Order: sequence, then structure tokens, then C-alpha cells
Amino acid sequence: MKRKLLAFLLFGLFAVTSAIAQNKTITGRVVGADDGLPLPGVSVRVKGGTAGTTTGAEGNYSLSVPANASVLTFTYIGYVSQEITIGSGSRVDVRLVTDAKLLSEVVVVGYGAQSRALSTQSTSSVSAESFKNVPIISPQQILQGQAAGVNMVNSSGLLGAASQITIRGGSSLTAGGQPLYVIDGVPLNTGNYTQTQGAPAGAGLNPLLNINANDIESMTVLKDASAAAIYGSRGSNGVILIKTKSGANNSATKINIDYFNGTSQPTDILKYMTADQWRTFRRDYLVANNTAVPAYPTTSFDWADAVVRTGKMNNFNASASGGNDKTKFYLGGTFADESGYTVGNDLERLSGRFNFNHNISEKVRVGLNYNLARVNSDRIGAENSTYAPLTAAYLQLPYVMPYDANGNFVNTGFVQNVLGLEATGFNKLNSTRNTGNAFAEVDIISGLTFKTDWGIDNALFDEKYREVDLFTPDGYGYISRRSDNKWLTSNTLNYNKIIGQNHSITGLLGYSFETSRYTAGLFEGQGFASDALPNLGSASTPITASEEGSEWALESQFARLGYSYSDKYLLEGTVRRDGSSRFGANKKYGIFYAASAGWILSNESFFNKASKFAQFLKLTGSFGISGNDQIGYFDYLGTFGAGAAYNDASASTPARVANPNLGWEETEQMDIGLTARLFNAVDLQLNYYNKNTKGLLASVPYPFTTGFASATQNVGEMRNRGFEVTLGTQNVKTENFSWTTNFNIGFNKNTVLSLPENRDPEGRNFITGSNAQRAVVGESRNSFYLIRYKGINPATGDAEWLKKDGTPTTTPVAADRVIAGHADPDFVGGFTNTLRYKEFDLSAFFNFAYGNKVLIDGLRFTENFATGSYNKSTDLLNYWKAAGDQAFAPRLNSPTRSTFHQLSTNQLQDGSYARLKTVTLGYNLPASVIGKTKVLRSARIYVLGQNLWTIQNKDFRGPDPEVSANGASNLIMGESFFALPQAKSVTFGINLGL
Amino acid sequence: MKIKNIIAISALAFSLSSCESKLALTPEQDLTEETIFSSPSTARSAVLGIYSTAQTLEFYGGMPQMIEEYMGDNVEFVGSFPTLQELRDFTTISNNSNVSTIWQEHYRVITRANKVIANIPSVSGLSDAEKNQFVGEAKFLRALAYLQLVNMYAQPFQVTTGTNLGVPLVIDDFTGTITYPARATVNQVHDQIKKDLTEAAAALPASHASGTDTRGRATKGAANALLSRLYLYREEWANAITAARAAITGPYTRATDYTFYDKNTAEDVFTIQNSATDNGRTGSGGWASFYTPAPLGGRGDAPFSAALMAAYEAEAGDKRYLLKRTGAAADQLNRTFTSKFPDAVNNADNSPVIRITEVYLNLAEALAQSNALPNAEAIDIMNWFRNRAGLGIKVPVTKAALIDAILLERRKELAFEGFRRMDMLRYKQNLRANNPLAAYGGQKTILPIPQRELDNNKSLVPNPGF
Repeated sequence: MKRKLLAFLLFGLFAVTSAIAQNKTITGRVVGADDGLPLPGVSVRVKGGTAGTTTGAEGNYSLSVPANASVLTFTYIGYVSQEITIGSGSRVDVRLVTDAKLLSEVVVVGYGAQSRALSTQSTSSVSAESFKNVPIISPQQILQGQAAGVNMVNSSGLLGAASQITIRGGSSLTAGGQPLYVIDGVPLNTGNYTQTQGAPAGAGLNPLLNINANDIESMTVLKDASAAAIYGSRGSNGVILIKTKSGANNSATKINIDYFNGTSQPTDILKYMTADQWRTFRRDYLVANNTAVPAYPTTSFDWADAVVRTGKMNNFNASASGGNDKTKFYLGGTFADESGYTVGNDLERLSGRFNFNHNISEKVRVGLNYNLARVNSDRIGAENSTYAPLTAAYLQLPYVMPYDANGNFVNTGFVQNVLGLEATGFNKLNSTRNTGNAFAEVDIISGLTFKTDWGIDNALFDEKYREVDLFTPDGYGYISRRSDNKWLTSNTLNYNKIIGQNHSITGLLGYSFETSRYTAGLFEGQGFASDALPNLGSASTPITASEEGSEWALESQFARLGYSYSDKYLLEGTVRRDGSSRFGANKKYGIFYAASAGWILSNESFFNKASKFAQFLKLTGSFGISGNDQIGYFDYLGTFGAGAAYNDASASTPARVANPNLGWEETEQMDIGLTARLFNAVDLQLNYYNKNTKGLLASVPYPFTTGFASATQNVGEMRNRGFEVTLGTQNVKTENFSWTTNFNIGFNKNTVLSLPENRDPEGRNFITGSNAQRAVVGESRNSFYLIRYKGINPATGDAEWLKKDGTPTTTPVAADRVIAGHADPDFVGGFTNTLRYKEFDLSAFFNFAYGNKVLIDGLRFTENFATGSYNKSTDLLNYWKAAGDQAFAPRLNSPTRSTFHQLSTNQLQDGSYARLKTVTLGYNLPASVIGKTKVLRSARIYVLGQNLWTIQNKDFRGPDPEVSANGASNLIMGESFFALPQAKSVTFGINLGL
Repeated sequence: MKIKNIIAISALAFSLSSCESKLALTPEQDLTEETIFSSPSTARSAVLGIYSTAQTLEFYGGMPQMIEEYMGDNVEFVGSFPTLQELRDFTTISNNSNVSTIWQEHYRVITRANKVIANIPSVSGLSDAEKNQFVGEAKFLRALAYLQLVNMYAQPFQVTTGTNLGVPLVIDDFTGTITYPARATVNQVHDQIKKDLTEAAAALPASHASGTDTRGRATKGAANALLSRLYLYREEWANAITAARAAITGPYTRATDYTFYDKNTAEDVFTIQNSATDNGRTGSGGWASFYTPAPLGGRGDAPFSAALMAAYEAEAGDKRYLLKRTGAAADQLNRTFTSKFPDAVNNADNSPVIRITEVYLNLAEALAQSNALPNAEAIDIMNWFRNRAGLGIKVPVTKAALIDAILLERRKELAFEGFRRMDMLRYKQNLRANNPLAAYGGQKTILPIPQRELDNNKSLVPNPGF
């Protein structure tokens, strides 16, 4: 290792020494004229000479020029070239003016930034403009429908719930399948930081909960291997780079103030019976089955109505940005206050950001990005809990009252009185998160820059829960405190040079080390003298006192080399070597790489740029390998878990089987792309990809007779193939009216190619996700495997299912299960139209998904015909009464009455939908009025609606087709167990620029 | 700045924190397999780990026992879990998740016992007496797991005199090589249980130094008592009598009233010790969570069945019928629940696995069965329990009447403790009147071999009908 490091340093040294022996060094910065944002990759040359370089990620360059050089030329694809006379000084800053849209776009890439036109990487980015003012809690919601090939599903309408993002079809099975989030170069920790209560294992907290969308300048999704390989062992499920806003040099301080206020309600809720309907139905049912009818209470209560309220949101955001010739800054602060549409769910966020850059000298620059956020939330039981308000409301028998005769809350048992729970006790989660990095950058010699960057991501989650005597005799409470503290350093050398007239070279060499320590403490107690005692110290019986700690570390070396010839032929190669603490002794280090090439046809002499048909045309291709390391801390070790107890003595139990060969999962990806600008108004991007994941990290199921349920191993292979289209058109552009359309669609087909030995009756190996869903060889990773429900036989009134051979039966068995669809959509996408007429703007954004199935598992409960234990759907009132009835439910005394609800395709629904995700109507105060105020720079008022309209299958029985109640789980997608539907909201807001 | 300085700074920054040892991290909450059997204290914790596993809801934490009670006719299950309702209705199929977890927990107990049996003999620092005891405890717990498992997943001995398929016998330590065992017959499983219990009875002490250990850890008496249960289920009456008599010689006395639950008295032969802190309170629950009405912190899932209430009410004044309380059930209707397991808040009630009462009833039943005329000792035992319950003396005049009388006392003594289904099936009774699915020998009067296991282990033959 030390030797390798030495060789690595020597390479850097060589790069340094080979570039000395020059005369005069000019430094400077190139930015876009309209937005002041840095331009990377701009060619800087001495006019008439051969010396040249290109600008770095932040637009900076340094160039040694002969003493007699007088003029520098700055050329950049998509911009008007400029010639600047070198004065007596050594600094030349330039603002370049665009000459065509899209092509001038700058994309953030790993450890840098590139011109989209010159990039050979496949990325999608979403800029601040696309999500401005949208009331989102977590920034990744921005990506829904906005980036081709990115499937983002909100897991639940619960405030702060994790969402599920798959990029180009998931590449993993049991290893974590979420993309790596990198904010200003700091990879964020993701984990489940909450106690069971209020956050079931699947639907954890959103990792970006503490990031304020207003501070984000752009989010870039790295999709192909050429883009993701620089993140090595963590790149295979895609990487999402978040760049936060910065100020601009030499600009007056701008202040932006944004405020909005709105209300929300559920998009839809499940059907349920009134007390009278329930009693009548139940009585008829029991009588038909010769069973005594108990004396049901005559009371009635509408639980769903009582737990659903009008949600409210309030958001105030202020930012200031600006800079002089040496320093620039961005300051942002937000206060957001939201109450969800079910009782007891509130969230409050206070966050501040400070981004700062300063040039110490012509050659030395320093900077800082720092975010501090505090999120306080009042939580509720989530989904799969009878303490969740809406879940309990669906299940609660409608004759059960929340209050007794004196108006006091009562305990209603397992399906608890959620109104009482929310009104008493508390369930709080407070989190604080510090994320930031500081860096210094030095221009060593012409074209060579050294950067050292130090980052942290420190998150602390404090939970406090208390249940009063009524619900747990003598009261119960817990506190939980979890923290995950990361630090990392990355040190890079960047080299940019233009040789001769046509050869441009960029090089990156880096080393990084990253480590994070997780701690968790849980203290539980029971037995309080009074409900007025909130703290655990008052409990008589300490039930749990537990502490845990774990640490991981990742050490990496990486390099990237780019070459372009005359802006026509582009080549890029990336390599990264990662060493991780998570893997066995035999597999500690892995090497990842990618190579890509591009051909800009439109820069060829044969290409007629004056043609009305096409103005820009680029072909790209890439191939590479990235990995995934998202498994537990020590999955390779065979262990005995300590910490159990028996009869007041410590007990240990086997936890895991040893596997010293446990290593990375590797994804090979091939990508072919076409980028074009057509008809002077249409930007088109097409990509085809083929991803093969090998050595899949999977929990290989063991027979329970081994004592273990599974072990993590590298087995199996999976393929994702797909096609992506991104289209942006400028339909009309006149002084008073403009209309643009953006459309994107991503098709993906996921196929499992091999899995460890575990065969279904058809002889296909599979891995179980849930009771309904599994990854099956030859099929999708998210295949539903269910008994097919046929319907109610109009002649007999019995429910019928299909046997494996397709013949009807009233007594299906497990062997009758077949693959009945998949949870991953055939395609997802979005469609946005933006119109501007004079001072008015109107934008409508639809997102859609097609071809996926969703399992509304809660229907097994609400459509349970035979039980008297909970409320039911009104659909059951349509039961079979006479021959010929086309009924929904069976005959009251049918032998299938107690199996009607059993898990089958009866709960499986078509999950395709299109949704008007956001629609905004705004009015900008005219410039003439703004001018008179002397204070305002701009002013806009708007109204914004979210999720106002959904198109879905007419037979869909469930509140919301957009569902993934198991959060970020790879193996369980599209299943809902009373997941809260998305909120339908309307907000009014104002944007002021000072 | 001089180039040299810059290079020096770069080199420093690059090499900072670049040390391979940072990747060599170790877990903080776990011990490795190598260390666990390397010292007496860690080895002891592995032995207690089997008991800790035995506490789980799906082993002796109340769920299998409640299922036995409601598949039998003592309990009316009114809870909300569809998987448990399917078992109640005798309509389940093989992918029932509770059925799978129950199987899993039983094999956890078994394999953890296997590991202790295989590794304890080589632990340095343990005395021979300790080694014998630890291995004996593991064998006892393994036998307990196999007996409960074979009772649930196979047709009882009576159906084909034990020649039908039982469950896979796994008795060797799992060290990483997966095997796919086929199902042994019920007789083979019973033979293994017999062997384990006989060896355990020989190795185990009559009592332990600590009083709670005497009740809460395996003893000679516990092994003999469980042996008497096995022989009874196999209708080997003479062996049942011998084993029961051997057990009774231990430090046990029948309680004089019904206040002994959770008290670690001489009534307890083997009782799994639960406390507020070690039974996974925040997890899935325990006996009391099913058997307690909602306002008292339970789910109110498992009240008395009408049949059980009728059985108690047939003879007025039965003190055992006082072990009840009423309250809102899961359906919010007022129902009657047992008060044997009152702590639904912490689920800290001990699990009464073997009580001396059962051993006496085993003895009485075996005696009654092995004599053509009503056996006097059996009648005495039966009347002893009737007397304790506040009922008058009963003198059956035929063998059959005596057996019926003993079984009635057995039902009323052991209600809610997990015996009812087997007590009905071994006398070839239907579990429900008027429900052909619940008839003796019916396919769904036993649990299916979990589909997950059938998928994974092709040597397994499914139970028919699921």
C-alpha cells in the first residue's frame, strides 16, 4: 500500500516538473455573462501561439504564456468566442455570452464540472428553476418526472418519509439500492435513524430531510458508468450530485425573499362502512351462518373523518448573495412549518446555509460550504401500525367510540384510539444535521491545480416518546438518540492543457479517505406515577438501556483523463480503487473503471451548421464498471450477538455465518447516446443502455434448519436495459408570449439472470421480497407471485381462484401461485409546459408511470368478509344474493367466505397513472412598477397546486397508485399497507427580489 | 510559493490519514465465533442464549400455545391477524407467515442447542460437571423444541402409529455447509427426543444453586417430566408411569391454590423465566398480549370459548373458573379472558412449560389406561385436583369414565397453557363439531410445512392439502 501511494505521488510530481520552465503566468476566471456561473472546460489560448489550457470546475485557469504574448482567446462551445488583450497585470477574467441554449449548459460531474456539449458522460440535471416554490419536504422529490431514467416514488404521505429512487432500474437486491447523494462533494450518510415507533423498518426517514431545496442550484444524476465510475464502489445505483448556490464575483448583493402558505388534503382514501352498514352486514352474515348475533353497541363514529384534517404549510425563505472581485458568498435561511393532513403529524424546519469563496492571491483560493439544519417533528405511527391514525381509522370498528359517557378518552385496544393517542403523550423526533466542507485550491504551475477538501456530515436524531396510563397501564416512554458522524478528506490534482492547436487534455488525480461512526442509545421505561411526568427518570421500571456503536471506513485513489481533438473527438477514462472496511479479508480492495468517447459531428467540416434542420449533433458511447458496498458493517464476519439475557444473566446467540470472500457487487454498463439541437428550437437527447450487475450482494436464503435465515453473499446476476428520451422545445418565442415544452421518458426492463439455488415449482431460482413479491430468474426483480383471483361465480356465489393450470377452484393452494405482474414500471417520465404571456406565467407538470402493479395489502383487512374484528369496505355490501348476480363479494354462507380476502391478485391493482404533479400560475410585477419602487428588483405572486388531478385505472381500489410503503427497499416495491396517500395541496406565495 | 514547498504540502495532504489499519475495524456489539467457546463466561452465555431464544413469542412466548388452544376448543380467537384467523378457520395455505416463523424459531432453539452440545466439551476452564450440565440443558431444550414442533407440523402418533412424516431431524452443529435434511418419521423424531431426555435426565442435577434456576433451567425432574409427556402422547403407558414417578421425586409439590403462576414455587418443574427487560417487550408481545383484554394493555385476541365456559359451568364452584377477568376483546365486545398471564404491559409473565400438576395428570391418565378397571391411584390423583378446585369427590366406575374424568380435569387445569389440541387429537376427537375441516385426521388440523422451506429444501415433502 505505501509503495502504491508513493508511485501515485511520483506521478503527480512528474506532472508538476514536466510543466515548469515557462515565463509569465496569467490566471483568471471564466463565467457565463447572463448568470455569472463558472464555466468549466473553456479553451484559453495565446492568440497565434500554441500554448493553451482549459478552465477547471470553478471556471478558474492559469496559463504560462511567452513574455511577448498580447492576446488571449477564449473559446467554448455554445458561446461566442472572445479575444482579450493581456494588459500589464497577470489576471484576466472573462464573461462569455451564449449563442445557443442547452449546448451552453454546464453539468456538475464527480469531482468537477463539464460543458454538456463536450461531455461524454450520461447525466440528467434539474436546475433550481424547475422546482422553485414547489412545497417539497425533501429535495429528491425534485427529481420525480424531471430526469429521464429516474424513477422516484414518494413512499408515503407521511411528513418526512423516505422516498424510493431507482436510476435506470435498480441494480441491487439486498444491498442498499438507493443512489449515493453527494452535496458539494460530501457524500451523505443514509441510514435508518429512528426507533420502530413511528418509522417501520422500511419507510425510514428521508436522508435529505435536512437539506433546504431553496439552497440548491442544481441536482445532477450520474447515470452511466463513465459518470459514476469516479465514485467507484458506490456508483452502481447512480449518484446524485447536489450543488448549492453560490454568489457571483463583482455583483451587487441580491436579496431574495420567498414566502408561501397553503393547505393539503389526501388525494383519496379507502372506502369504509358506517356503523349502521357494518351492523346490518354483520348481522346478516352471522344469521346466514347460523351463528348467534352479539348485542352490538348502537353507537356510531366516523374515525376516518376524525383523523383527517386540513393540512397546513407555511414557508419563509430568505437568501442573500453577492461578491466583490476576491470574495463571493451566499447566505440562505428557511423556516418551514407543516402540519400533515392526519392528526398528530407536524414538521418544523429551520435551516441556514453559508457558502463562501475567497481568492487569497492570484493562485490560492479557499472556500467553505456549510449547512446547519434542525428539524423538529411530531410523529405518528406509520402505515403498518395500528397506532397510525389512518390505519387505525380504517380498521376501527365503527361502533367503537373514542370517548366514554363523560367525554374522556378510552383505550380501544390493539386497534388503538388514535385520537386519544394524539391528544395525550407525545412522539417527537428532533434532528440536527451539520453538513459542510472547506477547501483550499492552489495553482501550482500553468494548468496544474491542487485542491484539498475536508468535509463533515454530522447528524443527530433525538426521539422522545411517551404513552399515558390510559393506553399503557402506568405509562410508558422511551428516548432514543442516534448519531452518525462522518468526516472525509479528498485531495486532488487537476491538470488542463492544450497542446498545439487541437489537442486538449484534462487530468484528475485524487486520494480520499472517508469514515463515519454511528452510535445509538435507547432507554425505555415503564411505570409512571402520573401522566404529568414526561421524563424517563420518573419511570419505576427501566425496560431497556442499550447502546450500540459501529464504524466504517473507505479509502480511495482515483484518476480521470480526458482528451479532445479540436472539439470533435472526445475521449475520457476514469479509474478508481476503493478499499472498504465492510468486506472480507480476501476482498478488501476493488478497482472500478470506465472509458467513454464522443464525436461531435456538427463540428466536422462536412456538417452544414447553417442548415435549418440540425445545429448540433453529438454521438457518445461509454462502458465501465462501478460497484455497490451498501451492506452491513461486518457482514463478512461470523458472529455471536451479545446483549441478550436470561434470568438476569447475559446470553449470546449466533448472529451470522462467516464469509471471508464477501466483496463488492459490480455493475457493468454500456451507454450509447445522441445529443442534438434541431430546427433551432428542439433539444433532443437519446440514450440506450445495458447494465449487467454481477456478484449481486444478496441475502441468500438458508433453510431454517441451519438456524440461520440467510447470509449475505455475492451471487447472481441481473440486467437492466433501457432507452431514454429527453426533449425540450421552444414552441413559441415572441416578446410577449413564449411557450416551452419539456418531455422525458425512460423505458427500462429489469431481468434477473441468475440467483443462488432456491427453486420455485417451475424450477426458477428466486429470492423472496415479501409474501407477494420476489425476484425470479428470467423475470423482474419485483415480480408479484400470487394466486390468481377469478371472481365470484354468478351461479354459486362462491369466490373462485385459478389453479396453476387455469381451471377455477374454490380452494387454491400455495402451489397455484404464478407470476402476476411486476412492480417496476415499463416506463416513467414527465411532461412540462411553461407559458408566459406578458407578466403572467403558467406551468403545468405531469409525471407518469406505466405498466407496474401495486399491491394494496390493506384490502386483505378491509375486504375481510368473515371477521368481526375490524371495519370493512363498502364494496363488501355488494355480496352475492341470487343466481346470476355479478357480485363483488361471495355469498354470505359460502365456504369461501373466510378465504375471500386471502392474498391473491384480488389485492393487486394496475399501478399505472399520470398525475398533474404541479401547476403554477404566476404574475410578475411589470418592470415599470418595479422601477418606481427603487427597492425591488423583482416581485412575483403565484398560486401553485400539487397532485390536483390523477388519471388512473377506473377499477383501482386504493387511495393512491403512487406508493412504496417499504421505502427504499429493493425487493419490495409498490406495496402498500395503509400507506398514506400523497397530499393534494394548494399554496399561495410571493417571491421578492431586492 | 516555491514549487518544492507545494510538493511537500501536497505529499503531506495526500498521505494524511492514509493508513491501511483504518480499514481493519471490528464489531462492537458482537463476539466472533472463535471467541465464544474460548472462555467459561462466554460459553455460559451461549448456553443461556438457547433459553433466551426459547423466550421468543413463536417458541414459548405464547403464540404456539395460543394456537394450540384455539385450534383446540378452549379459546375463541377474535383477533385481527388474517394469518392467525386462517389457522382458526382451518383454511390456511403453506405461505402463512406465522407458520413460517414458528418453524424458524423452533429450529433456532434446536441449532443453538446443537452448537452448545458440539462445542462445550472443548471449552477450557469449565469443570466436567459444568460441561455435563450445559450439554444436558441443551439436550433438554432440543427435546422440548422437537416435541412441540412435531406436535404442530405432523399428524399425531395415533393417526398411523407414528410412521407418518414428522419434521427434519437436525442434531449436528451447523458450521457453514448447508444440508437439506428430509423429514424423519414421527417415530424417529420421538426416538431422538427420548434419547435426548434420557441423557439429559442422567446428566442434569435435581436442582440448581439458585432457586429461580431450579425452576427456570433444565433439571433431572424436568427431563423426566417431559419424557412422561412424550410417552403419554405415544400411549406408552408403562414408560409414562415410570417417567412421571421419577419426576415427582424431585423438589416439587402440588400447589394448594392457584396463586402460583409466575411465582417460581414448588409447583413449577420447568418455567421459562421472563422479565420486563429480557423478553423483547417492544417486540411482538407474549402470552398476555393475546390473553388480556384491550383496556388492560392486551390485544384482547383470545378469550374463553363458549365450550370451555360450559365445561367450567357444568360443575358450579370450580375455583379454576375464578382465574378470569372480563373486558373488551379485539372486537370491542365484552368477553371473558384468563387471568393466568396478567402482565400485558411488560409481558414479563413466566412461561409455564411443565407444572407438577401436569406430571400427576400424566401419571393418572397412564395408570387409568393401563388398568382394565378404574385405577385407585388415578382416581385419588384426579380427586386431589378436584378437591383443590373446590369440587366434590368423583368415583368413576369404568375405565372409560375415569379417563374422561381425568381428561376433563386436565382440560380445566391446563387451559390456555397449550395442551388442548393434542389432548383432543390423541383421543381422536374432532377439533370442532360440524366442521369437516377440523375433524380428527383432517389435513388442516396440523400446520403446513412452510412454503419457504419447501422452496429452499427440495428434500422436504409438503403436508397434503396446503
